[in-house]
Amino acid sequence: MMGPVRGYKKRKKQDKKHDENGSSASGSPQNKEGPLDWWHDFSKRINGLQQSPSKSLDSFQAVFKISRNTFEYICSLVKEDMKTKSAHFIFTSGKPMSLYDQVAVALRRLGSGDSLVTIGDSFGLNHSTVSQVTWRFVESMEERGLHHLQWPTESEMVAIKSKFEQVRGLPNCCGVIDATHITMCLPASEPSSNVWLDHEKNHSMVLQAIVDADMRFRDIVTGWPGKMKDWLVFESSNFCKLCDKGDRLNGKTLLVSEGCEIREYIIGDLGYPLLPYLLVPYEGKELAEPKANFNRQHFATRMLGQRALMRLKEMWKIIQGSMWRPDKHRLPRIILVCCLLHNIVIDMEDEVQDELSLAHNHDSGYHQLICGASDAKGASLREKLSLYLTRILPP
Amino acid sequence: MLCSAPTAKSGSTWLDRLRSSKGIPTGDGLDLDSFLLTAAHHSPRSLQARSDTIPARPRPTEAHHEPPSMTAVLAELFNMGATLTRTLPSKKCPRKQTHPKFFLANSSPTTTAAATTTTAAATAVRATNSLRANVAAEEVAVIEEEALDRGDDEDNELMKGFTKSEVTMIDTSFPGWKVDKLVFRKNNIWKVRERKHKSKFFTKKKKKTSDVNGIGSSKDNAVNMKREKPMKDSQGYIAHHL
Repeated sequence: MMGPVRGYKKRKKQDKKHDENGSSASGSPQNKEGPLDWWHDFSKRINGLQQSPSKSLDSFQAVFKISRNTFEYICSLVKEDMKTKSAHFIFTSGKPMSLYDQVAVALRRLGSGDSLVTIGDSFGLNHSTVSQVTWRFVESMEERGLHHLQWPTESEMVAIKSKFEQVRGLPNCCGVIDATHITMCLPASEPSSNVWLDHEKNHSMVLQAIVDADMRFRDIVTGWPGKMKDWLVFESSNFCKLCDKGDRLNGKTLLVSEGCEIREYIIGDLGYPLLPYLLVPYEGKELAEPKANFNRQHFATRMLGQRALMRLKEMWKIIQGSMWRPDKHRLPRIILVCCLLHNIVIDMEDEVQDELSLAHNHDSGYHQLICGASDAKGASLREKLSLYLTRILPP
Repeated sequence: MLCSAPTAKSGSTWLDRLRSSKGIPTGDGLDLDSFLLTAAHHSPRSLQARSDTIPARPRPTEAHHEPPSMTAVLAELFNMGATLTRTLPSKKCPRKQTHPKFFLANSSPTTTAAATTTTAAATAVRATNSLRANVAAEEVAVIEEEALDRGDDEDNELMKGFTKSEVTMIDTSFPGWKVDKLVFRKNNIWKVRERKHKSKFFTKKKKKTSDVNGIGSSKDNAVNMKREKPMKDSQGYIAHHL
């Protein structure tokens, strides 16, 4: 996967000396350590290396933004992959990295968004080791953790629909769709950079996500250049194709009044088309009460999608800032792993998620684009819902 | 003498002959102004010329003609080879365009037959995508997933003028969830195709990688080896890529 680390042989010799002297443990006994003992040593080491005392790294959650329980679970997921030839990864002191060390470095890189050099300095590692360890973690997670990001099963969907109805009364709602831009610094001189230039003149990659009522990502699409509008990303997604074919959002319809059935649907902002299975708000300001009421309920429910993306970027800061000339084939995979980690935190019921202060916008500086396309069946469903929500339809 | 013979025959001066050839009465008591006015209104040739020119020039200012001014008529008279019909302003009016340009049907708001044809063709293309029927014209883009059974030459011909980008797509609703695509863009038109992998290249790189490092290598790793090199930004920091 990666080239040999410079000075690796030299360090290997030093490592052998350490072992002979008994002053440092080799790879295998390290891996047998529990996370509690490991953290004790690890925090001492990173605080010793920490140059600015203002940045307190004494608490586990301050460093990794997740609980130890979640950390252990993540370690168990990637254990097999990360331990394979892990002796390649060593600290600058010559000490080999344990599984926990590797996962810690990768999580710190993804969570803080700090540069490879900064992470390397704070952990006593070469910057290339930080890069390689993180990439190995990403490769492992996208395989081992993918089951945390899946379209709900039938029974899961029943619970999701019930939760959405509890939020603001939208019946039979299955999800919220939203998109955000992962910005990056690309050289403007390269002609190929133009395709990544979005409507706000940033170089970016689009992430489209459909979230459930617990702000868990249920479907994501990423990798498309920022120049592509939200509705084009949606149309090109497999989710859209499955819905068009009737293979998704094809569950039970809900009879809200006599002769008035509501099918399964998701909701999105005006950047999406109005479709039989995707409802967007009414356009315009001076709307009649049922429509204005629908828009209010719609907006409040849609906030779940916005908050999910805000939390994603807030927790996994590597995708929050402008990445410096990222490899555009790797970036979507990093985004996926950040989404998986986001879901794992929810699935583990990690309390850390409640303590997170969120920004006001996941896509600050981006204006709402309006798709404007509408489908007659979608318009009819929206009409029925707006009447139902204002109790004009007999229940 | 050759020169004097015609003069003797006609018994008139060269000026009289000229006047008679132009339909101008000869003699000493010539009222030029009154003649010119009547000539302008009654000459059959000039009337014909005017009737021809009117439909061809729809501009209202050119549909009717004022009697030519005396100055203009005198100037024409001294142009010996000229005819009266040619003196009319309608004939002298310059062309609107000395260097006519092609009329671009879709660049003009006026509806012409050509413009209608273009719009119809564009609509047919857009019809492939049912969702965007109502989207404003300037925002319309087309995404086409196309099969790869074409030859390279034909492919290149079709994609003329498009900029090509290689992207790695993640779509969790897709069974393989990760796929490499080629994105072609020309203004608002997008075309998407599956990326062809040159197996030879990857095989070679794979072998080399595993030989050197002894690390199990995937296709992506082989590609990314090239990009592993850290880059420094303006502040001297190593690049943020992994």
